[in-house]
Amino acid sequence: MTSFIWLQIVLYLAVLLLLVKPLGGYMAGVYQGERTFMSPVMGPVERFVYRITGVRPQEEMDWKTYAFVMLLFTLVGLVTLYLLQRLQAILPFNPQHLGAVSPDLSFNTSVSFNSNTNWQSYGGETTMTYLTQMVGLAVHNFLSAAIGMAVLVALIRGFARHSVETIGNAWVDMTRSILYILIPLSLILAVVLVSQGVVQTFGASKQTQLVQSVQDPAGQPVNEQVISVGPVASQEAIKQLGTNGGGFFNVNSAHPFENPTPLSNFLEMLAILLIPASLCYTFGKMVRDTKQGWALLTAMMLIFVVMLSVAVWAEQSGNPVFTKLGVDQTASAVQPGGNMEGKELRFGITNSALWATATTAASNGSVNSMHDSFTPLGGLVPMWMMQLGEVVFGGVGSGLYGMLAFVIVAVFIAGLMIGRTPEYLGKKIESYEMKMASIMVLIPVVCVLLGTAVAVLVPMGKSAVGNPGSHGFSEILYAFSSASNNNGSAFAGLATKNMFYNIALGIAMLLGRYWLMVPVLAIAGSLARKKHVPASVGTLPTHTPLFIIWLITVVIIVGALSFFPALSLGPFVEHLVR
Amino acid sequence: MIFGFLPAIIKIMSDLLFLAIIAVFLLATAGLILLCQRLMKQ
Repeated sequence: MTSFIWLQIVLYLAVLLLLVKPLGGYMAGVYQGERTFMSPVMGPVERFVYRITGVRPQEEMDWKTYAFVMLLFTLVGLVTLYLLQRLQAILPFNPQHLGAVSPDLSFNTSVSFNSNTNWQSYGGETTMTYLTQMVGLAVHNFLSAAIGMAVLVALIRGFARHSVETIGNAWVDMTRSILYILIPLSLILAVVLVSQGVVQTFGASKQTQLVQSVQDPAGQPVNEQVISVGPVASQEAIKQLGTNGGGFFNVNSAHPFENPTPLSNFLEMLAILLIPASLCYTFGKMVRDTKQGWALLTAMMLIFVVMLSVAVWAEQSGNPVFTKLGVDQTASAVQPGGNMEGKELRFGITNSALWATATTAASNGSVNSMHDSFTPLGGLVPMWMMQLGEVVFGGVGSGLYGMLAFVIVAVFIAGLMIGRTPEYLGKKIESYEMKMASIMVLIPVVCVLLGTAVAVLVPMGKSAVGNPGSHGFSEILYAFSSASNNNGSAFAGLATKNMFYNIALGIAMLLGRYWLMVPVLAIAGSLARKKHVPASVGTLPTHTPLFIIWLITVVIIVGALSFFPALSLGPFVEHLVR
Repeated sequence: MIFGFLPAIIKIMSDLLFLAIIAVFLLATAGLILLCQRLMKQ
């Protein structure tokens, strides 16, 4: 690990941390209805949206109404996106004359983009029309992110308020997330990305002459190549900022039209963690104790740095099979060294491992390298980051509410150990909150393990595996870890474009998203009704290094206990027998 | 005659199947909301 590697990592983390306070403070102002510098621009738009939709912004909702609004919104989103794909052949903005998407793939993609997963069992440039990409997929990148942020804000209000039934207005929280946060940030990032060479056009694909003629599998000479283009930059920005991850092109951000330069790579990586990290400060600000937000951010950051170090070390160490053959894999002035399979030369090992860790820490799922080509231990890192429940930064909103579920578990266990009633932020944590938090922790685990077990038993599950043995098992485990935790990245190598995976992963995505939101909102409603208990000498402080370490321990233990047997059959075996 | 319509009927049935999966899931989620509400009142 050279000093240059560390310099890149430190620079990335430093810029990220510098942006946490200003953006987090701004978002707190937005959700508390304060006037911000965007109010003169977005205020009239917001009021217009409420007027035409009939929303009364001053009317607050109890948790059940909030949850039903989310459900209704989801129903409309799922059905419209499904129909858009099925009817895309006869709709405009289809210069490539692409046909309708199949029913099972439409179902999978509709669920995927509504649930903020963005798992893609298709090549975007050869399957989806421009209309589907823009009106369907890119719009849901905004909406699904806004839903996650709204649910988090409702939970924060549950902690911040006392003796009330209401936790906010779902329509207002979603509208403000989109107008004041996601659109302005996406606009800035999209323009900067265009300056770096990310394409943005409604023109059809380009035909170019090859410099050298090649032969196709039938032996016929091929002299031309089709170069796909499209409205990429606008989708790229929200893809990263909304922790969506679904690329315009099949190879995602490894494609030079999605991610052309080291600067675009840095900015796209920054965009992955920007909002999830900043929301920790928003949380602290809204509960009027910013130390609590910094404590959660510190816990996330410590797990992230350790896992990132493992990934960079594993990839930089290279392929042991090559080492046995005497191949020089050390980094030098003339070669990057290490394991460069599946990685782009313009990014190298550090930026590939950093992206892989960030994209799976957050529930982003975009890639700039192929995770299937990582070394066993290097590939273990992104897989386990997802299996921890996407709580290390996690998705926009969903990451922090997942981490707060672990906080509830942590204070409850600590309370049992010292014989006191558990409290967090002046609210007593009782059996109801603990039951709901347990549901949140267990549902993704059940989806991952059960889904993987079924897939390795049924013929359609096994036939999709590209590599036999432990690596093939890792591919299946990765797919269900990704879907159930709403990440969306793929290990590749697994041909998931079949009926079984489209349905099974679709159901895993639905459960992993919406069956977690319901208990979150239930906790929010329960906490909002409770009285505020003043801190006493018996209160466990939750902003100290001791609690941070305790919280990390709980997250790691749950992740380790749940997945160690499965990981042993996959990456561990592969590492040991190579 | 009826076999001429078969592909179209199969396509519509496939669409209805996936829309039905979505509907069943959303109904189950609505049930989960009500269950959580009941648990809270206990």
